[in-house]
Order: sequence, then C-alpha cells, then structure tokens
Amino acid sequence: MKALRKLRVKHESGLHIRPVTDLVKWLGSYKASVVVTHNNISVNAKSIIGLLSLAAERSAVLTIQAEGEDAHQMVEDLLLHFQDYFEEESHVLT
Amino acid sequence: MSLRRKTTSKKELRLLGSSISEGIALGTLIALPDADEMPLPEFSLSDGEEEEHLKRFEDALSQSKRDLNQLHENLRYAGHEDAANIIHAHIQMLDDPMIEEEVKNRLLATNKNIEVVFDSVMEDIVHKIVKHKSSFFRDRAVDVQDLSKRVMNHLRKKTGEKSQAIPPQSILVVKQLKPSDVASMKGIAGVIAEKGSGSCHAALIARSKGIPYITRLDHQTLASFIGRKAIIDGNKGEVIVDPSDTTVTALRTSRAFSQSIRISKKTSTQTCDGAIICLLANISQEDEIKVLAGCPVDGVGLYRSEFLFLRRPEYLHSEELQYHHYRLLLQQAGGKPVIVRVMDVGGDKDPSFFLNYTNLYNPPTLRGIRFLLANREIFKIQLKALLRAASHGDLKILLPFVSDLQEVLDTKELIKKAKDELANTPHAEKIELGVMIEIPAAVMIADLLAKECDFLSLGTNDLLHFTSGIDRTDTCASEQIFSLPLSLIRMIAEVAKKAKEANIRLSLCGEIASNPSLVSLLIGLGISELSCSVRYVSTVQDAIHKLAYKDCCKLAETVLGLSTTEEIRQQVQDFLKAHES
Repeated sequence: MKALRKLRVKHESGLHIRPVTDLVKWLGSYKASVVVTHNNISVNAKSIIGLLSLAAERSAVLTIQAEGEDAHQMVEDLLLHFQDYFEEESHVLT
Repeated sequence: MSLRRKTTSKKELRLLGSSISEGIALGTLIALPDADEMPLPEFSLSDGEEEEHLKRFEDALSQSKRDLNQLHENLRYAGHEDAANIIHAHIQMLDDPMIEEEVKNRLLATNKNIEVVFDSVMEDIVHKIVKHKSSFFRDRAVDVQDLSKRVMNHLRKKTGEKSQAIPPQSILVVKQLKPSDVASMKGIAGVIAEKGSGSCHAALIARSKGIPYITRLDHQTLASFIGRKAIIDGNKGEVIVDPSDTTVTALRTSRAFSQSIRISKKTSTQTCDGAIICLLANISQEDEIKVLAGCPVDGVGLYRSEFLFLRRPEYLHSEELQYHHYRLLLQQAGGKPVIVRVMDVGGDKDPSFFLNYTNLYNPPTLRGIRFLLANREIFKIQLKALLRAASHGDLKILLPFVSDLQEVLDTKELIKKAKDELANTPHAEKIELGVMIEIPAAVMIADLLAKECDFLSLGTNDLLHFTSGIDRTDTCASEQIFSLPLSLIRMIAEVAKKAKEANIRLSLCGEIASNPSLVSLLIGLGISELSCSVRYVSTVQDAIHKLAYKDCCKLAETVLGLSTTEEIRQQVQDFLKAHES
C-alpha cells in the first residue's frame, strides 16, 4: 500500500532538530517505509541526519511518500500529531 | 573581531570578542589536545576483513551511546535540562539508519578501512548541512562533527571523555567549541572560541551550566597565551590576559563576579564580622531543587510535600513511589540536608483532591498534624517512605501546625510503629524530627516542644496571621509583611530563647526571611538559619554579607524596647540607612 501527502513546514525555525527528533521518534512505531522529498532531494524520513540535511525552512513544501501496510494510517495521523510543525499543502491518496 | 590594547596597565592585555554566555571568571588559559588533528590511517581491506571492520564500527557506536547515556544522566542529575536534551538528540542521531546504511554501502564499494569510510560518510553529511544558507542549519553541522569525533575516538581506541585532563578553574581556548566539550568536562571556568554563535548547542550548554563563553577572538593570538592567568568577562565579551592586581581586586568586589564565584565555590554565608548564617531554600516543586546546584544554599529548609500529592494524587497510597521521589530529592540536593515537611492540608489548603483516592478521609476542617493523625494510614505511608529514603542521605521530618505536645508524642509513636513494619527493609534508625511553630499555641509551649524534638522551625506567615487576626485573603496582609508588629517580634525572640535553652536548632521559613531589610532584625533576634524561596537566596546572602552581627543584636535589643509597629519600621529603616552610608 502506498500513500502520498504534501506538507508545508509551519514551525518558524523550520525543520530543525526538535521537530526532526520528534518526528523520527514517532515514525519508529510505524512499519511503513517513508521517504521525504524537498528540492529534488529524497531522504529516509526515519533518519534524523537525513531530515536535517534537507535544511527545510519555514514554508518549505515536503512530499511525504509512505509504503507499507500502515502507510495510509501513518499519513493520516501525521498531520494530527504534528499540527505545530506542519500544515497541509495537498492531500492525494493512491 | 576587534583587538584593542588599553594603556591602563603595562602588562595586561584586553581583547574584545562577542559574548555568547554571561558570567565572569578568573582562571588559567588552557588548550585541548586535539586527537582528530592526527592523520587517519588509510589502507585497502583484504578479503573477509569487511566483517571485522563493520563489527568494530558497531562496537564504537554502542560505546559512544553508552558514554552519551551516562553523560545524559549526569547532566539531568545536575539539573542541566537544556544540555541533557541536546545530548539526548545526539543519542538519537547515533541510531540513525542513514549513517549505518551509508557506512556499510561505502565500505563494500570502496574496500577501504572503516576509519576512512566513516570519516568520509560524516564529512559528506556535514558538507550537506554546511552549504545551506541558513546559519541555523549550519550550526547543526557542529553537532554532527562532535558525534563523528566521539565515534572516531572509539574506533581509534581513544577514550571519549577528557574530564580528568582539565585542572580546575581552566579557561578553555578552542577554535570551535563542541557540545561534548562543555557538557562532559569538569573544571571549566570559561570558554573562548574563534568560531561559534549563540544558537550553537555548545552555547546552550554553556549557558545552561552558567559558564561564560566568548567567541570571535583570534585563535592563534590566544594560543600564544596558553598557561597564563586571564579574566573572562562574558557580560562584556572581554578577555583580560595577565590582569593586574588592581583589575583583579576591582573585579572581585563586583557583584557579577561574586555571583559566579559562589556558583563554583559555594562559599558559606557570613556576616562581615564572621557570624555564620545557614541559608536554606524553600521548595514546593521538585524541579526547583535542580536550581540548588548553582545556588549558594546549605540545603532545603522546607520541602512542602503536599504539593507532590496535589500534582500526583496516586503517590498518596504508595510508599514505593514516595520513597523513590524523596530519594531523588536527596540525590538532587547533592548531599545537602533536606527538611521534608509532612503533608500539610486542611483548613484553607483544601484537601478535596483526596476524596477520590481515599476512603479514610476525615473532616477537612482539621489541618496539618491534626489531619494526619486523624488519617494515620496515609501518615504512616509517608513516614515509612521518608524513613527509607533517609538511609540514603541527610533527611529530616518537619511537623506542620502543631498546637499540643500530645501531637508530637503520637507522631513519635507512629514513627516507632513504622520502623517496626520496616524491620526487613533498609531504613534510617535515627531521623531528626522538627516542629513548626506557626500558631500562637505552639509559641506558648515552645519549651515543652523543644524538649521532645530535634529542631524548631518558625513559620512566620501563619504566625503573623493568627497573631494579628489578619485573614490570609486580606489584601493588607501583604503590606504587613514589610513591617513586623512587636507581638511577632516578641514571639520570635521567645522561641529563639527556648530553642537556645534546650540546645536545639531553630530556623525561620516564612516570607519575611526573603526580605533583605528584615534580615538584620531576625539575625539580632537569634535566628541563625533562614529558609527562603530560591529566587531570593542571592539577595538575602548579599544583605547578610554587609551586616555586622553585633549591630544586629543591638538593633534587636532596641526594637524589643519599642512599642508600636510604626516605631519599629522607622528604627529598622534608620538602621539600614546608617549601614549603607
């Protein structure tokens, strides 16, 4: 199962260490593999260093691609969980 | 960077950089031995060696994680919460699948030794972060470099920690400060770096530990002064190499310096003619106790345990939970004594939160010790937890709202029972028991109470209200605190006399202990232990330093001979004015 979602970084300091560590910790409980793409660079969303290297600032648009049995659930929960960090850009389920 | 020489002294050299963390310190300039300056060994692997190198990498990762976990624990115990959080992020980074994946792929692709592979992987990551235009992200590169260095030290079989290598009162001179440098090293009085900004994690840690830190000073210039004495002034962003005696003396008398010195040396509090005053802290929440590490107090004079149950009612019936809580308190107090006041609820302290947690609940009109003795099962749980915790440090028990000697005797009986029930559990055989003097009834029988306990503690807030008939919600009550009525002054003097006769200690833990203008009178009345809110400790200590004990005694004598509150207020004010001039 695959799921896709576009999110905009809402946090004023961008995707800095606190949101990144929170996100990685949270993603650890999902089986799905998750890839985040920003400015044509794609990284493993379960990697702190990967996410940090995206250097996504406020208003940056991230594409979240998840694959695995709980991919849909994860993508659905993501925004609910991280309302302070992200807002919806557009939402496509495939 | 600007470098300027002043002609105030022939020898001393003043350098001006930018301040990152405030504070002033005097120390010796030292440099760190830079292990990572040594060239990395580089060679190609022969068949079958890959496994061994990957195994070494995994070992280095887990050793690094162990170091960081230890460091994280230490920082948390010491109360450096910000610093601990950063180290926690480092621990999470070590778990990063990207590092492991990249290292594995690259090792198999290049067939080079693990040191070279790991170094190149980390370099690439740093590179990605560094090229970013935002300084906020660029600063994160230092974290990755720091982590990389730690793992590399293990790969090269070097120890990760350098805590032994630093003599006390050292001012560290580095090109760029790494978070683990400040987090793990003891004895650092200050840091001077060439590169670094306020948003670096190293800066946060320096601030969290109260270490002055200055950047934008040329590394080479400073490196030539290694081993020399220097003053680092984090408030101005100035470094003074080889300071003259005049500069040092001027600095020692400045307020900022004495504050930073107190943090590092924890000097005792004395009046200017040498009378030692024991300064303690009043604590309501366990997170306040963390401040003690950087605070010139001699211990906790009043831990209000009822706030624990207000926040965590589930602790009420658990001896085990309470035991761990009190034990942690002692640990955080770092060997200093902690006086725990047993639960003080009832009266205006509404114990309705109990209703859901106990069926032993008795009328809420009873307050303090009376409430506890009416609910002995709850009381015994707390006493047992305290007795057990007391085997780990200096813990004393304080009874609130005592009005009759029988209440102390009953409590002693209950403590005996608690000890019997703890026969097979480690606990303190001897525990000091104190009584709060906070209602006029207790003042009148202070001599009897003093004979049955180990110390007395004056709670002047309630005493003032009950003596003067002022309601706690009365708005004028707060004004009264700044001028003491003769009735209260006589009571304090009386209790001090009774405590002296019984040869037991007496402390005062009301709000008036936080009022620097009343400290002179209290000391004169015979109070040698003051317990006040943590945030007033420095102010009260400053006030005490300026006082002469014999003048305080004279003031108390005069005041006891006056009749109205207004006369007393005037007398105290005149005394303070005369003292300032």
